[in-house]
Amino acid sequence: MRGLIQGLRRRLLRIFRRHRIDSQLDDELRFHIESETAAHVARGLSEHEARRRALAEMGGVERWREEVRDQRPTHALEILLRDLALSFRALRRASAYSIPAVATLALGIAALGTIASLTSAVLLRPLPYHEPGRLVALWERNIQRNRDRNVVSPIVLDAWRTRSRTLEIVTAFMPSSQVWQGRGNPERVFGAEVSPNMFELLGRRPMLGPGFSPGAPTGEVVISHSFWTQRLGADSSIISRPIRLSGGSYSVVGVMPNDFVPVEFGWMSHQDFWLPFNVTASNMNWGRFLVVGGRLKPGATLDALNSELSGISAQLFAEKALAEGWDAHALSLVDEMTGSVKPALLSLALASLLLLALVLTNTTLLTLAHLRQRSPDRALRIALGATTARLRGERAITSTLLGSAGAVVGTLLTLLAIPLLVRLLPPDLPRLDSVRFDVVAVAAIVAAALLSTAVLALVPAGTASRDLPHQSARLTKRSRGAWLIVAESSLALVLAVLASLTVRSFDRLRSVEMGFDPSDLVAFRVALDASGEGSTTRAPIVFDRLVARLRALPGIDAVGLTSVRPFRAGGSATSIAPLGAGASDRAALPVADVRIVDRGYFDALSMTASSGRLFSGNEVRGQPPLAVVNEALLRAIWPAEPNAVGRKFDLNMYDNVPPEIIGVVRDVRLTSPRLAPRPTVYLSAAQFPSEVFDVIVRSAIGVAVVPMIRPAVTAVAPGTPIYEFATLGSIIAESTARERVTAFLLAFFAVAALLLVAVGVYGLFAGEVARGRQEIGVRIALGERSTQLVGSMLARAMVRAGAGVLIGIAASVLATRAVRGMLYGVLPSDTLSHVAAVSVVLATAFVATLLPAMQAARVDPVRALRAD
Amino acid sequence: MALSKSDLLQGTLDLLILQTLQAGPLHGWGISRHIRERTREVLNVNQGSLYPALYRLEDRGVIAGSDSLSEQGRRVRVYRLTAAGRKELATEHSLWRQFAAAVELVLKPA
Repeated sequence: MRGLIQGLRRRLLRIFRRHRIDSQLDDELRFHIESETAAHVARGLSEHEARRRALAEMGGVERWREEVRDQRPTHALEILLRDLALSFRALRRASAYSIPAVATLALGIAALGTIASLTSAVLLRPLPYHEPGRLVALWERNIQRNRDRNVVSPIVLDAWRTRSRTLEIVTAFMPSSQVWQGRGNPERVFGAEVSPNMFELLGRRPMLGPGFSPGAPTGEVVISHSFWTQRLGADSSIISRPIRLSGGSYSVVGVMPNDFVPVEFGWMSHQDFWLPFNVTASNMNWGRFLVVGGRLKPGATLDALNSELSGISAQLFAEKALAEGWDAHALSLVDEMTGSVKPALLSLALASLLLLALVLTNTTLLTLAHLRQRSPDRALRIALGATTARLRGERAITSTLLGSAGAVVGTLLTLLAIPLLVRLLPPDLPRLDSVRFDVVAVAAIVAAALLSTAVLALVPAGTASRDLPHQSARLTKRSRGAWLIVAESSLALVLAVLASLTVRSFDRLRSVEMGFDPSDLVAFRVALDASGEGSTTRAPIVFDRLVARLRALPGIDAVGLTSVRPFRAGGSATSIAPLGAGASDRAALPVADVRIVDRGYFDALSMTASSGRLFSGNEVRGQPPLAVVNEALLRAIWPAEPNAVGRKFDLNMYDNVPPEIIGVVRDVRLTSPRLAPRPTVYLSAAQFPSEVFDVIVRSAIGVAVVPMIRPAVTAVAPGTPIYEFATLGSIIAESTARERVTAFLLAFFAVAALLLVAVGVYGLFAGEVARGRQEIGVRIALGERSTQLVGSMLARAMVRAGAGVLIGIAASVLATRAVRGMLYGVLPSDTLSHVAAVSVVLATAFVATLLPAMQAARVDPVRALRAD
Repeated sequence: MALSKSDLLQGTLDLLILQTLQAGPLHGWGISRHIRERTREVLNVNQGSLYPALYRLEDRGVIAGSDSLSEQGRRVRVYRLTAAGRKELATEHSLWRQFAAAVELVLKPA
């Protein structure tokens, strides 16, 4: 082993000391000749004769100096280095070939590397918890209403805890928000109420403090690292000291480390503090409101858990603790957290692979053209005795150089693209902050580079080595690039179909009729202190004053209050029924969204009554509730009867007192731009006062109104935080951001694909025209009209592109499956998208052929025939 | 009679060089002169064979070259046998003996 290493070292040293060795040899030879001469002189020859004889005995120095080098086993390596240098110089000279080749390879490699980084961070990387594979999300399921992910009731949570044999830990989560009164303005902070075992569930411990005390702790809080540093000055003595949240006092028992990632799924989002949640006799009957996570026992499977959950549901039903039609199921936590983006990421991954395939085809075309151009050179070298193996070796080296250069440039582009992409992506994308250039990206780039090298080295060698010097290219002969054009067109078509489907889907989504005019609307949330101004008697007065003050501000046209603004999660919903039918099987009843609004709300959203009247603000608290409903609600419970005003209906809420309908408004999308309007019940804020409202302001001056709002709130209720400022336009844009970004990226891929097709087709035909000048000259001289010439070229191009398009349509049937899950209002087989994709691919091929065809038509027969 | 390079049996030159160096370190010309003298001018080793052979042997690690100065103050490369070279010489030596004896047996009139 040691000898082997020494030998290797000696050889390597030799290569780099080659000049030294040559001069060493020269020294030896000179000494040899001198010694030989001296010996001859000693035997009596004259100096001159002695030297002549010594030199004659030596023979051709150059010849055997080469022989000395050949003796050395380093020879093959040296040839490789020399060939590397040669190929590098050749590529530098042939920049018309090498620059586009490296650029296209880099484009394909960078697209793959960037999408691989994204996919790896969001989908592949394990969650940053202890043994994340055992973490699950648990949901109740309403079978009749087809609601897959219903939040969980404490009764069911308790049953899972006590009865499950496959779950080690069960943890409940529920969002919480509190007012933090720091040195400056009071602010809203967001966190969660969680079962005290949450940290045990995730296998993470506070970096400071002991965590929740055992049993059922109250009055304790664990805070996030950013809460600790930004609001508490990273004070280590904070542990066990009290902090005040929304007027209550909490003892800080833990600070989480900086790298702790809160569990975000269901309606759980950003969390900066955790308060303990315990199932109590009082919250036991609140209904369903918990997000639940769990940890499987080692060795337990998700399937086992799911059948166990069904069993527990059946038991609970038998014990009359659960209504009919309710079931439960679990899925892995990582699927729960990232499942919604899977289709988009998979389609992007597919698109980047297609683009890479296209890049490889195109580089192959470029290489073929390059080799043809150099075929006289090759012919000369073959005539001089260069072996096919040697020429192939050179191509292998050239391909490796191109592949490596593509990988290096592609890596640089990837490093540039990742931060851009992260900025472009919607911030609610799960695990976005962990996107970085990682080992998956490196593996993807290396694999792509190796593949490029192999394709470049093998394909042209297989075809071009038959390209013997005596054969000259013929215009009529089927060109070897033909099948590549077919391949390119088919790949580009698939990408164009994917892009046009997603773009059309996004366009549909963007132009969805919301039912109200979101422009000029600004929303913010006001939460009064529940122990003071927010008490049920004070709150209505304070909000009345606030509305009056805001209305008086210049530039504000309308002000409305609502319990939950449009498209904000967490609005309440419950079952509805014609009067008297509500007590029956509730699970089978339709569901309505319920919103508490004031009299100004409909005006702010420019909604008018289609029959009856809207709220006046004079509805009396304690009297039977009055309701404004939408048309969808009427369709759901009284499909046959047009006149609903004055009727009552069953609403499973507020002690089940049936509300009376005073007016009907048209349907409005409230929960998501994607979802069709559901039945909606509006109740009057005058009858259902609350300390928290979303305020919606219609303002001709747009967001410029925002600076005036805070003083108005402070004047009415000092110390009240206002938060979640947003224009409704931006809320809608945010909720469609994933679709927008996916459409944008796929469109980018499609445009890149079309450019590659254009370059490839143009390159192929331009090459044909350049090589076939003579034949074109003859044909023109024999009277062929230039239109015929152009026509025949275009026809050939279109036949190839057409064949590619047909293959592409067949392939896109499979490819569009990947995007099916994310399309809105567009079928994967959408005709318009396919027609658009086909026309754009064919048009690209047509234009790219037209230019060289026109050149051919302008060939001057006299000059072309005289050329050689 | 002088035998030229091509008459030298393949491998014989290596053996001759190793044997020559067993006596002590020597430069290329010294080796060539030594072989010529010891064979009474029958074997005249051509430089075109000698130097490639020296470089080859050095690469295999059986001899080692180092620079030193000649009496005239000229830089010369002196070769010496390595431990591996000594082992190889012993092997080659006995192989040659066997070979020569075998050839002799064939040539001897029956």
